[in-house]
Amino acid sequence: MLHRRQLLHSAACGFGSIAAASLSAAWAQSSPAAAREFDLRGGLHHPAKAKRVIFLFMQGGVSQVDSFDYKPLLEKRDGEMASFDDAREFANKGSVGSQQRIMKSPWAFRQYGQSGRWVSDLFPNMAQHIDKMAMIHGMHTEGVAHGPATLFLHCGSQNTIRPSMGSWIHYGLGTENENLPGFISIAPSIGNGGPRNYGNAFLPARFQGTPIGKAGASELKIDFMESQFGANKQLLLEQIQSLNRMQLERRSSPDSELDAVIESYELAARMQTTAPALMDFSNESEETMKLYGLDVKETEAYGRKCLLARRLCESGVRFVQVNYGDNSANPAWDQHSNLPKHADHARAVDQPIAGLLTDLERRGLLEDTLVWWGGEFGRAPYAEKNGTGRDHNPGGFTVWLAGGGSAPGISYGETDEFGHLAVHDKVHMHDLHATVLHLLGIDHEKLTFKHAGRDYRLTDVHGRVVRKLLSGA
Amino acid sequence: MPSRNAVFFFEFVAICFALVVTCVGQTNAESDDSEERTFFESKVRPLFESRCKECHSALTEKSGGLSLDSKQGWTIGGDSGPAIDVNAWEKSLVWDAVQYRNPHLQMPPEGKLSEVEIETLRKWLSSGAFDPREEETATTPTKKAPALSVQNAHEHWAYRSVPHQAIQPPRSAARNGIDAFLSTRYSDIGLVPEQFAAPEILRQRLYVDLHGMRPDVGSATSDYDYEQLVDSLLASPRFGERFARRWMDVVRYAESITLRGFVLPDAWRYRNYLIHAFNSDKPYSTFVQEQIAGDLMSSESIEERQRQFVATTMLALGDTNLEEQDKKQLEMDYVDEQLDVIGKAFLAQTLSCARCHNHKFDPIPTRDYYALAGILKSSVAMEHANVSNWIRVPLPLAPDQLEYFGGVEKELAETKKAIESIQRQLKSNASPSLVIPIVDLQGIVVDDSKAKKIGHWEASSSVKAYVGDGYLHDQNKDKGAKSATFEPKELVPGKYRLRIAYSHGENRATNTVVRIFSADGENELRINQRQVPKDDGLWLTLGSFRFEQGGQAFVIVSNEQSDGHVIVDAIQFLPEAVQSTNGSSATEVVADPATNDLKKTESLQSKSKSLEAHLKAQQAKLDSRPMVMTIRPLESPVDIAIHVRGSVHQQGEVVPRGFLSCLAIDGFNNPISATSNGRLELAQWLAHDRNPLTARVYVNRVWAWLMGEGIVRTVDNFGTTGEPPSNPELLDWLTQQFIAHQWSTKWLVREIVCSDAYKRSSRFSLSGTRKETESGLFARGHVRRLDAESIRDTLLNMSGELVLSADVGSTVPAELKEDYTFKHLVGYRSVYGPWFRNALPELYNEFDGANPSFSINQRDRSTVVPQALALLNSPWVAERCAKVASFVVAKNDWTMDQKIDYCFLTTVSRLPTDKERHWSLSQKSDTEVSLSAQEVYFTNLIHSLVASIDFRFVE
Repeated sequence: MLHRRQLLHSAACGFGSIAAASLSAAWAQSSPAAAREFDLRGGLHHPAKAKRVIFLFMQGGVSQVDSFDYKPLLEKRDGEMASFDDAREFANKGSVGSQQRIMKSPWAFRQYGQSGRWVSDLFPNMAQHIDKMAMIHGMHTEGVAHGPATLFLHCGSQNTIRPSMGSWIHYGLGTENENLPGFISIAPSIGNGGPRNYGNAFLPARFQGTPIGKAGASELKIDFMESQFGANKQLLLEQIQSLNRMQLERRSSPDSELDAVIESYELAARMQTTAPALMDFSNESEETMKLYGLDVKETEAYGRKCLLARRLCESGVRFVQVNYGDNSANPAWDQHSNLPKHADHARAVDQPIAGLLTDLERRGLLEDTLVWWGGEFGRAPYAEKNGTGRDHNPGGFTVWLAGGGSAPGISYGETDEFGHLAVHDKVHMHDLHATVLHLLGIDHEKLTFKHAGRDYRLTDVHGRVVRKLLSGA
Repeated sequence: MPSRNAVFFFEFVAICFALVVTCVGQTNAESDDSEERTFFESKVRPLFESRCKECHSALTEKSGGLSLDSKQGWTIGGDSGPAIDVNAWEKSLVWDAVQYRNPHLQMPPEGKLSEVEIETLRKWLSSGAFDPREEETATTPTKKAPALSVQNAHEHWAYRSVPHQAIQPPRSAARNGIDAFLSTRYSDIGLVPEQFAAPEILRQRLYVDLHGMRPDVGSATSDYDYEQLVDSLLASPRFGERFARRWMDVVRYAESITLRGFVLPDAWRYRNYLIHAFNSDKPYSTFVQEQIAGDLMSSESIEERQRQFVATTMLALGDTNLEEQDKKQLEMDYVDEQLDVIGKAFLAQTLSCARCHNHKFDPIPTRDYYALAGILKSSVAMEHANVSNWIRVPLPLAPDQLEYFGGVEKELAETKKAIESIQRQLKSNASPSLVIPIVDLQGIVVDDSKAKKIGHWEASSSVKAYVGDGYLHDQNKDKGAKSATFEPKELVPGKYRLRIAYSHGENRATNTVVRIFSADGENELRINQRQVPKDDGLWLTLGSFRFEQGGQAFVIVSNEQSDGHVIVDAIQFLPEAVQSTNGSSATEVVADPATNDLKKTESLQSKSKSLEAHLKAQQAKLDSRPMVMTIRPLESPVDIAIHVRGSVHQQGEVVPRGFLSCLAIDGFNNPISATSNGRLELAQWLAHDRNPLTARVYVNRVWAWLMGEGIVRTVDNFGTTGEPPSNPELLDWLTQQFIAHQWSTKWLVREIVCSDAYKRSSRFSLSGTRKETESGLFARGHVRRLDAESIRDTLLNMSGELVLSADVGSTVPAELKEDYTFKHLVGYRSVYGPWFRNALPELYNEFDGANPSFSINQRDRSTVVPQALALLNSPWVAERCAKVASFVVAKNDWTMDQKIDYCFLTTVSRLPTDKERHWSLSQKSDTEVSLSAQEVYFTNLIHSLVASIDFRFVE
């Protein structure tokens, strides 16, 4: 058995890893990465292409037919009535085939890059990176309403309480920086499942996501990271540790749990220095700030979050989620009425995301950072209730991956001629989870945790790795 | 290709022929099927290999129990039945699946087969599905029996009843039965258990274990009678508060729902039920029954009746996903969640595992799962809407109160009638000849001119009254192709009464569709535009709706399937608060000032106003009627069908309602009759003396609460994958005694805490062999950590802010509908909450609080950095410490030593050691004597004591 301290360092499993140190028997179970003193380059189950993930969550559901899934037929047949299997009608009444008015996209599409793929005028800057992206057009998922679909996206389950994928990944791989949390969600929404979307559920507490800031507030900080005492903070810490040492000595029994308490204060002190430094952008060049759109009012908010995400990744955080959303029941991209409002949201994220991709690439980070862009579902190609917006569409939508061993410049899967339902080379959300884990060197069927009498995993009993999405496949 | 009949005929001939000349017949048959064989080998087999067998093969996962490896594979089929029926191939599941027409069955999942591939299958199926492949050895039977069968359930210790005859503790010097069992074990293995912990430590233990708080400074003494202290702690109301909070973990107690943060306004009654149950030492068997079926039990007093009703709130506390759109799915998920909690809380069984298939390890067949599910399905748990509603029923009341509320109800109905009659008169007085300028209207008005229109709408102003410059109509044309969306700009969140204006007439539609999109989802109404708008001849109230910040807020009027001219004029959003004072403002506008009716109209209006005020007051009275959150028994109970692979859309055989067949109880013969709901029988079965699990599970649970780990360490899993009891005789003896003592929790607690085993030191004695640390021996005490609630309550007690009260009602602010931004105030003990899933109290997340969406049987024990950060930097913790410091500094007559003593006593419940005292004094700068410097010094001292090991961990 390794000495606890040795174990800590060799496992590179910082934030909270001390927790398990006290329970060395439980330790083996508590993190597969820690159980075997493994080298991440070898991967947990097979060699990893990606070391970390940035997930750009477009809350509310971006319309695929107005962004990346170009369907000329919509323009041609705009205004015509046609029969569609609407997801909501089906879930509510079990009925298929309702008459809906086809609605064309208000945005023009153009071809970009060597691949010549079509992108709408919503995302002219992201489009410049088209040759880096693996465009997945045949996505489909579970859940017609935001709550269930958002939970499904994050936890692989609509109604039952399950760990978030970031927690699973953190649990599987640990973190590279002891002085920072391993799983961070920037500006998460409190709605639609809120903390459950970055929760550890039944995984040990140290694998829970740490929120930085919250949706709707501009301030980006971690709870309790800032001292209330200014200059006194060092004194308080020293006093606590003096007392702890005296008390431990008096108990005169070796107790690794109590050793861990002392260590947790040391770590907390280090983290208090590391974390605020990461949020201080003063050492970033003006050119970089511009790249992320920090100089423009509309793009500043999301730009800051993207820049922070890059800094966190550079510092060894395993999973960073950058949320674009809000706390309402109809979050951000949820244009049930007034589809043209998509343009405001596109404006807010287009430059920052394009900037992030440029920045990651020039720093050599894109190679082992997997970037995932997408929402909880897509939108229907027809007008909702013959109005001016589009309703939810879990049956077909587009997400893209870039970097981290994903196949650059490809397009995979198809929706039908209207862009409604995925019909060819479909990728279920479980499949996407399996594929993301695969790129990180994890076999989604082997990353399990025993709870309530059985082994659980992110993909339940489903999911398959989509080989065509892997570079070199 | 030959038709199916031809093939059948051919086979028939071949078989007859084979009967006569066996060898030759076979040869002939073989040579004659060459065409099918070639077709199969060249087209069909490759298709199976490439498109199906990644999942449907014994060599892969055999998804859905279906193997397409052989003819036998698809003939037997999987969980849904045969995959191919050669006699009715067009109805075969395989054919259905590849068509992609049935949304529940689409194969292959990654995309529809190509036209060519489908044609291949059609050809193959329609010609008799020739398949030469024999079953391979790798193919296993399709239905797996549970590892332990129901018949053999008794092979597992937990499914055997506790013995009939009284167990005698082994002969020993021990006073207490518990110690008799344990000491026998010690002498068997030659172990000397640890000494008792010091009285000062035992006192801390008892307070933390039984009250969930550190002792007051005042009660600090090492000179006390142990058993007297135990009795007084058990008699204190704090005991019920502590044990209620523990039980809340088990039943996932909370007062809101994660999604949308809906507040559950009646849940607190259940919290008080729990506190009362533990304080009054309600027999656990009654406690169990009331929570399952209190509403169906008989009672002797109205108070008892009320408590029984409230107890059933337990069944309705799940963190339900009310906006799930597939309501069938939602209902079964709800039942599954209830069964999960019932299974874990009362039986320590993982029932949910049997939802999709027979339990893989335990003797729980899917049949039993759906027998239990039928019982719960025989009550209504929700009323469905886009976002479904939970069930609230009036709390049973004493006759006088009942009469009072009955009177209010009656008066309310009469007032409503009176108002309606006045409205009718007003309507006939109203003159529909006016044009209403928008600026004159209350609230926010979206005129047709501002609506977003789809299709051509014709402007008109021929029939008055109308709002603005006129109204629009659909020309009674292009039905289904026209709509108008009314969306107010920047609507302030809140509740609004929505009204629609239209000019009525004989050529109008009687079924115009109006859809309101609000925080409550989508509401569809159909209005009759031939009728005079009810409110006042121009406006018609659509209802009251909630609108959230940034949420959807619009109304779509559509001409789909309408039978006449559809009119759109305006939509009005009237804030509810404004409505109460100016509710009939529009009427005033409509009234024609030129007529003599004006006075009459005014008098009617004022009468209407006063009646409306009266109505509101009565409604408020009625709203104050106490309600219970529960589930409501169906008039006709239902048996339900087994859901194949757990899918609500694939139902199999219907099973009668019943219990776990592996736990059949001798002498308990209480089958559920067709007309009986079944919950009462379930409750009686659970709480039966001879149910092998219920009492054992609870005895073990209480043991684990007090001793750190259970006699069965897996407190929530007594199944075959759980651990066996470390001392089965002890567990059974204690269970027998517990039942003999009328299932008394207080007896059980007292028995345990008065044992020697409870009192043992957690330190290592020098002579110890280290064996005493071994699990299951209880030869050494365990280190207790203060949980989040104990830390919070102790801090509030230290700072003098804790309000100790035996009678706390709802702590949810009256108008609060969503929990998101709720801030917890100081005051009551943590148990009183409110327990909001999106806003848990201070320190709860950091200090391993139980996830209130799960049944939690043992909290995590983590030591993580966020705990250190919270204790260092939480303003809430700092404020409490500063308050104690101010108190200490103000004690002018205390010496410095006395002040330091107090700081230690109030935090770590003991006096400082010499070393600590010396160290404490050394932290004080001699030069600073000012009051503020003193406050800083003591704040720091108290704060560091609170963050120290001796505060957080009790030996």
